[in-house]
Amino acid sequence: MLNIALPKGRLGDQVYTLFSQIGFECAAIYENDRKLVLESPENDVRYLLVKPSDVAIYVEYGAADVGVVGKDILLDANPDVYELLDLGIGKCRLAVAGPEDYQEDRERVLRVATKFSTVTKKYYSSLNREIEIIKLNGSIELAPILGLSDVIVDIVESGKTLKENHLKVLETIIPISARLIANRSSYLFKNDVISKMTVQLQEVLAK
Amino acid sequence: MVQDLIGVLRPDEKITLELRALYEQYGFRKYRMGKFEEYELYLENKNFLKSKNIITFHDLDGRVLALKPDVTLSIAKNTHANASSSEKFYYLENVYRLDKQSGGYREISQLGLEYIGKLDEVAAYEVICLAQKTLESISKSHWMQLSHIGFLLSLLDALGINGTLRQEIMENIRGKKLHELKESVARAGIAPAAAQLLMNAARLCGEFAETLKKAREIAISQSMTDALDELERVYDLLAISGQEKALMLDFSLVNDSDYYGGLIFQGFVENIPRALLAGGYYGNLLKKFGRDLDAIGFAVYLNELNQLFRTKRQSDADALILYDDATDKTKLIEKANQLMLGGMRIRLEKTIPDDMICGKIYSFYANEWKEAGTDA
Repeated sequence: MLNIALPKGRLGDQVYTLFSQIGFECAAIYENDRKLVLESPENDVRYLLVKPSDVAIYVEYGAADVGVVGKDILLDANPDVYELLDLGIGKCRLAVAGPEDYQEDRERVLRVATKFSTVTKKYYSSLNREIEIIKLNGSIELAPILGLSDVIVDIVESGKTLKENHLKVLETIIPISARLIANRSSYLFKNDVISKMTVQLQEVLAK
Repeated sequence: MVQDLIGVLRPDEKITLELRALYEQYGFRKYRMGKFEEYELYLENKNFLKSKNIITFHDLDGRVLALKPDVTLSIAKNTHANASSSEKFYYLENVYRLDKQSGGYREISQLGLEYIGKLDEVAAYEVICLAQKTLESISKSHWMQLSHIGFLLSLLDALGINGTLRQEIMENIRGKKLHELKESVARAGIAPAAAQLLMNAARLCGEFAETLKKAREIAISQSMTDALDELERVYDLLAISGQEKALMLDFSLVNDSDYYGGLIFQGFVENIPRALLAGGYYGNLLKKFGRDLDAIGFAVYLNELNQLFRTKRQSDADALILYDDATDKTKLIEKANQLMLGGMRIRLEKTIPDDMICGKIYSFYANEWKEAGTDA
């Protein structure tokens, strides 16, 4: 049985639609909204619905054989897994944003509010810019408004939330999309299923 | 009697004993070392360590010592091997490393094996054969990934790829991120023919003979061919002992420290999410210590076995004998000795301890022997 970790929410729904096209249907998904483990014995598949940021952990620790997770989370957590495919869905970008009238003062240490501390540190150290990280877990947009930070590093999809908060994108760090990841051990023991799945997904995506 | 003793051992302890016997059979000797090592050793050889975090402390004379994060460095430093005399060791030691997930240090129990000297494919065969047998004795369902790091490095050399791009490419190959690799080489402006070679190399993974054939099509330099020849020679020797099965040639297996150069391998067993065993050639390390020798070895991460053998807790004693102040202690002890002679595990208590699982409960209150029933 193949265990698939899916992120709860809209991305998870999109991924399920994709997976159901290559033989991993699971009728139980439509039955109950609250269940976290959904099984389809006839298709030999079990879906685990978990918090998006936990997908990589489930896969790295082998609770799931494969999973789908945003590149932003992979970059930040750097789990030891195989990243087999770019699914090209859940597209957005990781960007630096600041107030609409923002002017950078290069003489001061830059204060950056973000959820993604690892990527942020790496990005600014590549620019040789000294920063102070303010780690937040949500409503990042508030930080520059209240003067908590100069800029933020966050996921930007349409830019609507930024606009509503009078912020704008200053710099794109990296484009983000959903990736198919696999546990290193499962890749060997369930190689037939996982390899076939990767090829089939590629075919579906190419259409 | 020995059988009784073995019965007391946990599955992972039994396997450790079994593996020790196996290694001794191939002429490896047990090597025991001190708990501490001079911190300087790790400072000078940082690149050979996976994690740079080390527990250090001052000895009374002011020297900085460390709790060992690694055993191989100490062995490489202290070996007496030379060009005409090789050394074969195995060890069972604890090492202390940082655990990323819990953000603290962990004690890791390691069983390892090292072969140092002027080595040829017979040495590589012996070590990989033992690695295979190690996996086999842990679980019937196992896989070994085998690679030769020289193949990829020589390809990158031949294509003249260096610096950060080289690191980026290696990282993408290690994670099987073909989509990222494609982007990396396109961004760097690598010529299409060279880019195709890299993509093909990154895809090399599968059954040994077939993958080796595909790899030969990519080999564009003598050192790439040499790497493949070496793999093939060792594989042929493994086949003689029937150890060529459950072996996958996978060039995405890339070392993440400077330890290894040449043949490298990783072993997996089903239901353990990480590699249980890792090893390869580490001659570079000996050269750094000024010795022109080869070395090959591997380590088994015994901690991972806890996850595999999740046995239910068995009974703590076969019988619990309850007594009180009115019990004649001489009779009590005689009674207990008598039962122990019959091979039972006995616990004497005045009251039933919490959280205890035992077979039978007897009471001997006021010298009156009664069977109080069984503990469910």
